[in-house]
Amino acid sequence: MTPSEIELDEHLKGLLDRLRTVSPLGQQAVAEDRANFLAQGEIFRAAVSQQARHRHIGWINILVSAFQRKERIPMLNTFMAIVITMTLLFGGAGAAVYAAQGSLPDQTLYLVKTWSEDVRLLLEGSSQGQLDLTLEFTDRRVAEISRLRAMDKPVPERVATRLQEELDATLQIAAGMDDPQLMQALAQIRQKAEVQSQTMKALIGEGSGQKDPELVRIQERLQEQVWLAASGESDPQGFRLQVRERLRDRQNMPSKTPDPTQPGSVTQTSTITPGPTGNGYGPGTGDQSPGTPDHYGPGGPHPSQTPMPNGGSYGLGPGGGQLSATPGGYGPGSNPSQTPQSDGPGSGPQNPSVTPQQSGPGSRTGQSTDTPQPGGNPGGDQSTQSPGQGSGQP
Amino acid sequence: MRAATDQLLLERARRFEKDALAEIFDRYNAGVFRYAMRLLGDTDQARDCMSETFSRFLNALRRGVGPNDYLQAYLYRIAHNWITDYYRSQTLPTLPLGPELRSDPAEDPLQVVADEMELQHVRLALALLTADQRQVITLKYLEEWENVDIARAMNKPVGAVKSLQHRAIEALRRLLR
Repeated sequence: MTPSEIELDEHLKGLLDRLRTVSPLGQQAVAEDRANFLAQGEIFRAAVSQQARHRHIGWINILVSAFQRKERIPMLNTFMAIVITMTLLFGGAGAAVYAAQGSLPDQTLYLVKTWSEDVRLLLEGSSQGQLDLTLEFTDRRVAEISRLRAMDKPVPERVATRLQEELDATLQIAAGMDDPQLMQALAQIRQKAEVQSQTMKALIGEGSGQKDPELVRIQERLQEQVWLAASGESDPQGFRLQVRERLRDRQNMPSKTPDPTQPGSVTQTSTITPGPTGNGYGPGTGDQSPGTPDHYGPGGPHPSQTPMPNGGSYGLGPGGGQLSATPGGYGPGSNPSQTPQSDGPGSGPQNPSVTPQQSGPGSRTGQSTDTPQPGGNPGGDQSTQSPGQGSGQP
Repeated sequence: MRAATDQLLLERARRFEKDALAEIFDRYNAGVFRYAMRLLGDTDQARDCMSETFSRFLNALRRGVGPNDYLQAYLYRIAHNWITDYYRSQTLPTLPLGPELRSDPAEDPLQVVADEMELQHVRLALALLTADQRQVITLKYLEEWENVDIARAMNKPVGAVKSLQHRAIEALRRLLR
């Protein structure tokens, strides 16, 4: 007798003994359960036997089933379709962006190139990174212009516009930096603009005969960039104010309210017949309908050009009356073959085939007190009246 | 010796040989039913327990698991788990009617009912034990297994089985006092 059994007292033992007596299960029930058990075993045996026959070539079955038995991986087709689509979509887009990097403005992929640049700039978080990228893009624009000129192709206006926007952007990014960073950024901007200006100057010099007005305009803008950066290095606070003012001027430019009291202001829709001498459009009479302040005087500004904060009015609008200067105006070209720095209101030879260029930075021509000369040729296109051109008789 | 026999039998059973399966069923079905019947006190429940025990055994063989030896301990463990689950699903053990009541005319009907109620009282006390305590009491005092076999069936050391027996008896004594 084990110690455990000793612990079991008689009463408890007697109670448990009562459970010992159990009626066995009936023979029929046992037979039924046995049959069920063996039937279940038979089912399992059949399954196991079938598998055993193929066990030695199981690896072949796996390979074959991957291609034949679709139900084995029901999502395979969908998954593969997604993978292929994504590969084509992103792989193709990536290839297109990569291929577009060497494209020129006259090519279809150029849009992809500029788009990818915008995206890169958008994804760049730091100011310094944005500045570096924008400067890199200005280099690209200059390189594109060089390649176009090498192929004797004209420089599209959108390239010049984009370059100027990028130059403006570098100034704005720099203006948002702290002083130490600003100094470094301005030096960077200045050096870059100097090199680009030299490149542009060389391109302008290469051309025989007439200079490409787009190139001239870009070169002037680059000179302006050099001047702005240099002035910012000496006066950071003044630079910030200057950039802010430029930005505000540019934002306000399209929405300026016309001032009917301004002399020489004309509507953009005025239709003027050129004089019989073919010498363009003289100063206006001053009684025209109001025009936009930006369009005073012959030779309207380039739409994308931002007037200079100091002496932003270049020349007078034609027309009599009070000849007070209006910022944003551009004087008539005295000599269309020259750069607008020497523009004088209402003077210069009449060469209607040349569009007057916007005055470069620091140009001080077109003083507000000057009186436009009757018959002066603003240099505007005779066939299409530029906005802001005077409507006076030649 | 039994383990060696079980090994041979199980080896054939893994191939689902009909003779081996029949031998296993014939050898252990009565014991499993008796074990279930003592704890459940209901023929139908005990039969369900037995059928499910052998079915689970087959499924284990199909999955490549199951016992390598000591088949009896394995089958009783399955039955024990089934009964434990049954107890958990029931608030109290049911009182069977009809067939379990002895119907000998020579016996006093009152005594028959009193005996049956006492049996149910014992079963209720067993049901109130923990699963391990109930299993060790059943295997030790009703099935009269050796501690070694009990330890094997419960996957516990023999020493743990002995101390479990002690606690189970104390608990049962309190419940039946």
